[in-house]
Amino acid sequence: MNIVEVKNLSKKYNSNLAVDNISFDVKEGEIFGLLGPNGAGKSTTISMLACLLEPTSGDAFIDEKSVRKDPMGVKKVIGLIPQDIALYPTLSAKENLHFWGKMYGLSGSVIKKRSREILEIVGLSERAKDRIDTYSGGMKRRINIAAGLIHRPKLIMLDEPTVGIDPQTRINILETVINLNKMGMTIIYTSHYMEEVEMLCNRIAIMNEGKIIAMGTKDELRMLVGGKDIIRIDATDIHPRTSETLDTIDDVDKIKIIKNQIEILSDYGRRVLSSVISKLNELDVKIDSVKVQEPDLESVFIHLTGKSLRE
Amino acid sequence: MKLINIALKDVKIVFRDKMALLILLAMPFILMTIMGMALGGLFSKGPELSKIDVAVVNYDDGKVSEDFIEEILKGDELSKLLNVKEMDKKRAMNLVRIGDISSVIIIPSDFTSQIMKNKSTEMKVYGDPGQEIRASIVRSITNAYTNKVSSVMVGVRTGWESLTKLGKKTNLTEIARYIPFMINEMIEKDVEDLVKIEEENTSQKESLSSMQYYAAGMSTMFVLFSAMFGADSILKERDDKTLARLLSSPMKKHSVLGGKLLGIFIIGILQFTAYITATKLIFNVNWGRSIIGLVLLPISTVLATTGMTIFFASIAKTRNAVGGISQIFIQSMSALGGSMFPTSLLPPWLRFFSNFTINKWSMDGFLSLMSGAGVISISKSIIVLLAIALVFFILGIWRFSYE
Ligand SMILES: Nc1ncnc2c1ncn2[C@@H]1O[C@H](COP(=O)(O)OP(=O)(O)OP(=O)(O)O)[C@@H](O)[C@H]1O
Ligand SMILES: [Mg+2]
Repeated sequence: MNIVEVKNLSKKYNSNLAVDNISFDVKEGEIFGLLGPNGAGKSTTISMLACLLEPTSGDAFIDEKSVRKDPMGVKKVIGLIPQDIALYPTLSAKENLHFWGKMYGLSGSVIKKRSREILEIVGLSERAKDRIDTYSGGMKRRINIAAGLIHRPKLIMLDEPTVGIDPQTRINILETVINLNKMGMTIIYTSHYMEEVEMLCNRIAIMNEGKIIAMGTKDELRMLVGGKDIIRIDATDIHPRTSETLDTIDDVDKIKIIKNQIEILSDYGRRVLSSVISKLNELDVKIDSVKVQEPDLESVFIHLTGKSLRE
Repeated sequence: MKLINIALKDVKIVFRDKMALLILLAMPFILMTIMGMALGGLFSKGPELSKIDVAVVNYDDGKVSEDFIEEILKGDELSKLLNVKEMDKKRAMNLVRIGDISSVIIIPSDFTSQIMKNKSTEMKVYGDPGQEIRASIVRSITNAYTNKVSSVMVGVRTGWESLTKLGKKTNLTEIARYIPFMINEMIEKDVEDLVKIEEENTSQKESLSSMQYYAAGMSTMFVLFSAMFGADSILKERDDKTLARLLSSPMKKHSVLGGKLLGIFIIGILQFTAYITATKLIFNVNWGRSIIGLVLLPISTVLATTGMTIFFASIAKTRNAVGGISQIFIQSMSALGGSMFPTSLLPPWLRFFSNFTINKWSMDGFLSLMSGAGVISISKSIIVLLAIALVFFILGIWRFSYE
């Protein structure tokens, strides 16, 4: 069953088409990823699904309720977890959960019982009575997620929950997301980190400039690149004419240079490797490491747009 | 109710904010103490005389009582001294019991007919024991009228009878029309004396101490600061995305804003309660006798500051701007409106701008209450404050953006 059905949804800010006629479905019980670089329109899409923004055209149905016609109905079944710690820092975890529970019209006793369960899930039971401004960054992230669960939403939407946090906390959050999904909640997860999306999501939509440019399971998406390999080279002193020079090699499909990394898409990764390295040597580029990999979502994105996700 | 939960949450947050507590609670007391004591003798003259609130219960539907109310009590001369309201007996007696009006005049149903027949009659006056001087002034007015009207009637009747004897046909009621004017002339002198007595009494017994003045001034000024914290808290919800989170819960936009404003309202009321109670206990500041006045005036002042909250939140783009804009508004309103020093010290052209401040109207009200006035005397202050609140609400809600 589809818990989310998005139909030709668009959002225009003045003349800027931030979301351009997108359609997709999310099945009950899955983790659905929205992958795209900055400004792709992920947050705008999430905001429309959470009824915070009125769509310019199109509609979306969540649990069969229209975001246009029945926003109150939609809001009851969704849990939006903002990227920022959207909580009251001088209130304790318990007080925050109590407040948000009240916002969903729950009774005091229900809130008490659920708070205990939720704090257990996110591993904050011991700190329940402390003000959250005394929490570490990772703990704040977890209580931020917890606050979106108090009303037992069927669908949770997380908008880039791992931006700017340490690796430890990041793993912690990804684990929490997987646990919530195991408990039966459907999840929409947005990110511009392809590793996260690859690891978490059953199905993925890749967004760029407001459009969904590809959608499917991880394997389906990789198929789009064909049998291509991706060569990743970490280097310093990258010569301005590197890109041009590498392009002269036969069988090199696409080249992308971001800071200290050169990414080359090729049908025959291992075969072109020696020519690539010799060309780089000619340009006096200092190579730190070289990897030839199976295609990943990054290579899919480069293949489709000629840009890197991290730009 | 979700709205109430939002408000209570905000009150709790303010109570945990040391900076807010310092400004909203501690500062005003410090300033009241310093200024109230340092400027000891400055205000001993007191404000201008506040009027005497009088209720009239009229059981008589005759000409004489009507003249008394319309031409004498509400006439040019006495209207400088009295605030007259007609009402039923039950309400009037209640008001006088709680000290909100000084006295009730009760006119018996046979008043006109008795006077016409030259029989003795009198109006009853019930006074608030706490406002004996004011009540006795009202009593002397009614006595003066009853006595004069009788003697004038006797004179008129005698004159009319002699005229009739001489064969001139004159209508008695025709002549009676001039009676109020005659009496007015006659008691004018008495009234002037009464006003003088009242003025002397006011300046003796009910002059304002500078402690009272600054208790009112600083209270009003620091309640305005709640608008700064309120506007900041609204923008903080927007910046911290808690507003987005609130709006993604099943709730109407306006309930969120309503809850925030209710929180500010509660904080303002708590401030006034704390200020009034503490100044009463610590400095024995006399806030007057009218309980109703002391409830309605803070409520209308706080409504105005609540309106100002949404106004600040709507014109400031960032939280930093809130600080700047509110400081400018609050300081200039307080300086122009008399919170820091009496507006009589301002040049006349500046004094005109006082009328646009919350402080002026709120303080006018408090100072009148302190010098013994009842709620009717401060109704103008209350109405103007409510009008200011309305203007701020309209401007603020019109310009406020949730994004
Ligand atoms: N309130 C707004 N007013 C005008 N334009 C906006 C607004 N919000 C977003 N945009 C524009 O819409 C486009 C999509 O923005 P959006 O925030 O949805 O992207 P995103 O995929 O979430 O990016 P990021 O990874 O940076 O969060 C961008 O071009 C952005 O500049
Ligand atoms: Mg975003």
